[in-house]
Amino acid sequence: MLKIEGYTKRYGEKVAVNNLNLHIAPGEIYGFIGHNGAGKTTTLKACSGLLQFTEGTITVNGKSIQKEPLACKKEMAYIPDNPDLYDFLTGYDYLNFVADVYEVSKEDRNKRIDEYGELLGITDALALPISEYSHGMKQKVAIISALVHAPKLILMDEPFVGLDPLASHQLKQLMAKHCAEGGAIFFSTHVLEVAEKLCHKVAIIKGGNLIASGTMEEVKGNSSLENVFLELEEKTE
Amino acid sequence: MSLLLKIRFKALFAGIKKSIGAKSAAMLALFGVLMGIAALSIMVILFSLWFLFGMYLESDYPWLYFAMAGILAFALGIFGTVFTTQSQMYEAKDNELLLAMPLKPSQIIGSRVLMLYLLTFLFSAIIMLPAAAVYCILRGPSITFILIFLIVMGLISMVTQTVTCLLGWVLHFLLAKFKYKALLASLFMAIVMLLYFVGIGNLDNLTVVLTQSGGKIANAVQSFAWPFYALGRACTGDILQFALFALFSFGVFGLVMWILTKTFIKAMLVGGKTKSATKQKRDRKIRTPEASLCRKESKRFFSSTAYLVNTGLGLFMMMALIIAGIIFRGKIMELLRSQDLLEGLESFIPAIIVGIMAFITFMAPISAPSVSLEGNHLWILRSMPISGAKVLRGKLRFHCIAMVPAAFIGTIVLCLVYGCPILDTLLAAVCSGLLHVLCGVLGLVFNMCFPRMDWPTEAAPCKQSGAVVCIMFAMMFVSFLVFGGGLVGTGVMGPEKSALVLGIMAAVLALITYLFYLLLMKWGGKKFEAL
Repeated sequence: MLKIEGYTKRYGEKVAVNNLNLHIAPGEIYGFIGHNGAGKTTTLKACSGLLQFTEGTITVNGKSIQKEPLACKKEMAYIPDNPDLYDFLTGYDYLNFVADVYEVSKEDRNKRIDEYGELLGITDALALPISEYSHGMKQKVAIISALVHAPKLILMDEPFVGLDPLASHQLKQLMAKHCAEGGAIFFSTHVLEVAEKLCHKVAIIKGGNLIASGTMEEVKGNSSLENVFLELEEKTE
Repeated sequence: MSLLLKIRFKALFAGIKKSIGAKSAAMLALFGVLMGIAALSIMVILFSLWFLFGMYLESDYPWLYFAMAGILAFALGIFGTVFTTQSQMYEAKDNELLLAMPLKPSQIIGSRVLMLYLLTFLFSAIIMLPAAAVYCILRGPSITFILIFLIVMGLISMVTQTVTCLLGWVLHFLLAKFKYKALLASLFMAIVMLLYFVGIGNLDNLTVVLTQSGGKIANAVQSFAWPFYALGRACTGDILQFALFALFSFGVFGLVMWILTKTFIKAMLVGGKTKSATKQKRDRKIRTPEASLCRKESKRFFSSTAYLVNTGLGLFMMMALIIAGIIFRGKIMELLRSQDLLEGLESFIPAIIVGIMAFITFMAPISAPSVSLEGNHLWILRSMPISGAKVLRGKLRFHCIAMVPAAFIGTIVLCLVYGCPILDTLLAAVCSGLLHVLCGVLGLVFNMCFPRMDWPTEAAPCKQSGAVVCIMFAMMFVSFLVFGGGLVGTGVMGPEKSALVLGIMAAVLALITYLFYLLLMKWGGKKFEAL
């Protein structure tokens, strides 16, 4: 579904991500772990077509994000770490705008907005202007907007930040359901317990370099993900 | 507070550095030339004005010369900074962050007011420095005068800033609960602009009144506007009035700052919660991507005071001019005929109307800040399966929907009211419509040249960006060409060929617009995708 091969991103002399290779297959929830500034957001932005790069290739279902960005974007959704939504629109207006751009039929959008709105407990607030939303409410609308066009691949940057426990639980269910239906999710997180419980595969990045990747069992073995992460961080210092 | 000031200055200089660094040498040169032309034009007007008012210096009330300078500086300062003050004081993104820190409201307000004071001082200097220069030319310079004048200029800026802060404070509390605040603010600005144009239109009469009624004006200022009297007397060497004016300036400033400090937290808490929002009907109408983009632009335009006030005034002005044109038809025709300038007057009217519509374009540069206004929201469009060209088309579409029908219909109505032939009327309407399309296309081209994505408030890209300045100058230039071209063309080719002149004008405008549209779609679209 998502193939990252030799991806390198430089900001002048500084190498933000160095020769990254990852493959996220259909049906997988792939966690991306690393300390602040490790290169997680830079990688997710490049995968979503927000960041241009010159070294390496990123493909979505065989299509290159550099050469066919629109075809790739049609098949995926991106949720940033800080969802700055259009605060002059209401929640409904925003979701309709997204659905219009992705050309979602009336029946499908109505069904999905109602379903996900109820699930995340935000239906009543969708008629309010986004300017009146809390961070968590914006996050919920961003999640619904990502799901409204039923993408095959979802890229999420710290999706659990700001969510209440119930919404957090529902999101985990939604992620599991999405992958059970053949979709794929690539997401970054600092909450290692969540990654450990939710992910099929995990990649750990440090200073732009991949230091571990594979199935959860391969990476953590009999230890906890937290212990493995801390050990790897120490080893590579 | 010194730390807050340091941060504000750092942000200001970083913004300037970034803005300069992002532009090519050619763009910077173009920007510099445009700014130079504007500065030169303003200086010529102001020096002429102060030489005219120099007659007060020879009268029994020489202080009136400086009082007039103070009044004009005060008016310009209020007009130029009231909305900026309101947004920077109460809508700044970092207000909540700063209030959460162990900082007193007085420190936050103090640092903001000082930055705003610098802007107000700049406005005062634009008016008052030429006045001082002309005074020195007429009376000869002296160290004492220059010293006192500079202090007085600082004091009048303080008074202006005080009143602006007070107005901004009132405006904030008034607008906080008002649903259509952007429209209300625009209406206010449109009224101010109309008054300004009425003043400009009657400048001859106004000048006569000001120069012939010096005594009456002096009495009125002395009786009803004491601070300006004191300012004028201070500049002419009255130490007592100087001291009183200084005392007054510091007094009102201190009082207003005390009020603002005491109410700052309350001002931050007044919200515009939409009570009936939950009852709002869910709008789930299906739209094409471009129509949806256009709708999003319209929502932004009508909900943002800064956007509507700074780029939508043309729309209000156009309505006002059409209504005025209809109501005062008789007087206008009489005036045109009395000037005896144009032979076969009726044939020139469509060109004149197109010229007027052209002048409105630079008051309606709606598309010019629209890309910059994406700011932190840019990720939304960039992560969607929609090309840069399509996004720009959506923005252009909204600009055209807002302006073109009004210009087209307005031109037809005015042409019919003034008895123009049908063919001339239709061609004039096409020209007017095309001018606004050109304004929309050029606005986006300039915005792609000067994108400003990291703004602190929406006012920055709407009034202090290269794109808006460039489109205003460009459309002013186009307006002069269209106005002059229409009149000269009709004059040279003969009144009977007026339709041909309008046809040529429409063809040229269509060609130029199309060429810039192609540039926008190819180069602009690619540039948007790389923002």
